[in-house]
Amino acid sequence: MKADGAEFPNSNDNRETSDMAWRSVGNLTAGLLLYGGLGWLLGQKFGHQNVFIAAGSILGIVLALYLTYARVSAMDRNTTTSDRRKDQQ
Amino acid sequence: MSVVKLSGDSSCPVTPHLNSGCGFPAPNAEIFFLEPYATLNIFGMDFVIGKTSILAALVSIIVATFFLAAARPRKMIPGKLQSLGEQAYLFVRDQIAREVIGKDGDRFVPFLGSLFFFVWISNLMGVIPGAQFPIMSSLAFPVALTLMVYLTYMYIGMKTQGPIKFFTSAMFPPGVPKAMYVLLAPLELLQLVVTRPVTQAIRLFANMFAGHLLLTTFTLAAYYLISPSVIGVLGSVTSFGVTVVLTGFEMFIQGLQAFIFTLLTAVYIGGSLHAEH
Repeated sequence: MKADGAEFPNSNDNRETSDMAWRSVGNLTAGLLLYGGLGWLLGQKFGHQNVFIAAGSILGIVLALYLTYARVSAMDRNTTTSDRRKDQQ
Repeated sequence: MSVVKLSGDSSCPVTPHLNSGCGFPAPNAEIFFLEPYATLNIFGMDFVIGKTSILAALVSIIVATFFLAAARPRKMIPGKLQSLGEQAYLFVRDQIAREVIGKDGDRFVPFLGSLFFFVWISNLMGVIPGAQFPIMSSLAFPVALTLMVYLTYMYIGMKTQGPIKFFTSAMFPPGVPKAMYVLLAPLELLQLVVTRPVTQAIRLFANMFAGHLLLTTFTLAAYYLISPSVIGVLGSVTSFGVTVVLTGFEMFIQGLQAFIFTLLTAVYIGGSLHAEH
């Protein structure tokens, strides 16, 4: 068991990893809602509702996936640099 | 050929058997809307006393009594109850609080522990004979808990990082071209403010809802199929077997969902305490 007050260097990584798995679901929902909703609004204004909703939803999903990809790559870079630092010590 | 009457037919009992000529009364969302025992009208608001609220009160009492009783003697050589209480406390502290929040995690152990054990025992009510209703399958309960969690991490985040930095650090993720922020920042804001709490509540609710529906279906099928025929006996025995297996599986899911709910709470609190880099 770890002693009281000891540092927990992994807690940031652990949190990011746990967060990432669930966050992607939230991002996908947010993307669909936001850009699908925007498509719906544009459709209300200009007609061609179905085209705008479809395009908006796809844009939302693509953006959410891109966001997940960008975050995971950023996480990956952080881990590798800290691993390298550990190796050098 | 005899005509099978629909399960809603007025001449059919509520829970018919196969040989009665009545259809299978497949359970639906109605099984989650229980008859209230009493409705109190206080200041123009209806407070419903029903199975769910009584069970919820009971769970609070059970959890509180257990921890109070376990902490009461506080001997150097712990008894069975005290060591069980310590195990429970250490599990939340080491596996959840310290694991994802870090050294600041210890002060959130009471909150996380209460959440975990309240949710877990509430879920467990789904398989305890006599109760057999998972409290968290009533949407109001996960929503109320999530609201509490939401206000907590929003407050902590704005207090430790400052209101502006708290939102901007979430809205502008690293490793993304600046031009993309126009499209991504609103998406991240929506996920922080709306979809994050919504998914946290729905995840717990939907898991408990689906599990209870599944168990009810197979339990009812086992009862419905009992009849003096080959298909009846075979079907009934199989359904009963599936019910037993699913009950075990459901107990696993109940613990897992309580753990995930608490883990996510810790993740969000940790994220509020430490700005993303």
